[in-house]
Amino acid sequence: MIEQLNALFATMIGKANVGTKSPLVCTGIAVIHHKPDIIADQMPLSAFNVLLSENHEQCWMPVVGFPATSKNTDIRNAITSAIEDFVISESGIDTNLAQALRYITDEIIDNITEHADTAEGYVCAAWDGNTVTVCIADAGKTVYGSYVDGDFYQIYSDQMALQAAVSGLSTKNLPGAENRGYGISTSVDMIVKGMDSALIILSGRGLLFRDVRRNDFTELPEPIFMPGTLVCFSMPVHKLGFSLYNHIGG
Amino acid sequence: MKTIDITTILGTELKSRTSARDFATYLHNMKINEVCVDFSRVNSVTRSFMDEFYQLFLKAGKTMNASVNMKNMNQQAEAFLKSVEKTSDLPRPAVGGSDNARFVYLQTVQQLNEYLESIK
Repeated sequence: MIEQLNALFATMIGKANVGTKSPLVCTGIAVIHHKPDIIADQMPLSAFNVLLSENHEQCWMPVVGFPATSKNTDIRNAITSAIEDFVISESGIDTNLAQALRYITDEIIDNITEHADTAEGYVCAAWDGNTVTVCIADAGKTVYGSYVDGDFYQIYSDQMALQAAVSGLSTKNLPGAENRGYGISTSVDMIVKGMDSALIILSGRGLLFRDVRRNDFTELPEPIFMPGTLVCFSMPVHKLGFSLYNHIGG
Repeated sequence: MKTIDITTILGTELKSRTSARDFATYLHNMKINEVCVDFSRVNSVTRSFMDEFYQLFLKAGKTMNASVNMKNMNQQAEAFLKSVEKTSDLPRPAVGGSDNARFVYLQTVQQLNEYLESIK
């Protein structure tokens, strides 16, 4: 994942033209140019499934754009389920981990719908028999932008915003919003503590790199800037004893 | 009490907070004030959906929206509902302080390259 980050940053500063099949790089480029490989809601679901199946045994799913507004819930749910079914089927991931993959993907996508104020989100994935890597992103409000709109004056940088989000502080400054904010925190817990794996969140000039050894909140230098939010996580294909119910809070 | 199969309104994948709000709107538009919600055909549900559902229909003290009972919830829905109930009254987390968090400030691309090299 570090190499992928390196390649994405090199692309951002115009130093590299990346042609590799890397979920993190390809999704990051899709965010920057607002251009996924497949725009899923501009075709019947059956046609979308056919397009996905063209990548059968390629260990790869191209960047799929999905609708991210609250008006497209049914279509988005159908597209998301098709994506999850494809990745789970092709990667051979175990059932207990497939459940977690669906949970994490759905929670991240719901965050885009709730907070990013954008029309489109992006998903990309790759797998290699041992690991599945999924990248989900949007070109909407950054995490910091969401806190600003929620009048969280004590949060004043992308770096602080990521830390607050992962701690479970919802950007919705509402009465009764105490129970929000668990999507990201439980997903991080599943990936890092439950699966010994890694997760990256890149938003504005903030970068979180999280694995069992590291919990780094980084303020990135100019000109590195993610015009939206990108979450990339990897998970093993097999992990005996893992249960998502151990990581859902409460 | 009227029973509604929730999947006839929202589908079998209950993925988003929006879906829970759509269900509240449906009940409001149909002027249904009391309902038993059947979850038997639900395939999957997210914690966020259950949290929104809980906030809209189940939380003590809520005054708007229909009065709701649930039946035939699968293991996932039950587990998420229990989790949401337990965390419902926890205090809002404070900003700052995190498990062994490290804060890194990079001012140049060179420093960024060195940082990425150090965490390989």
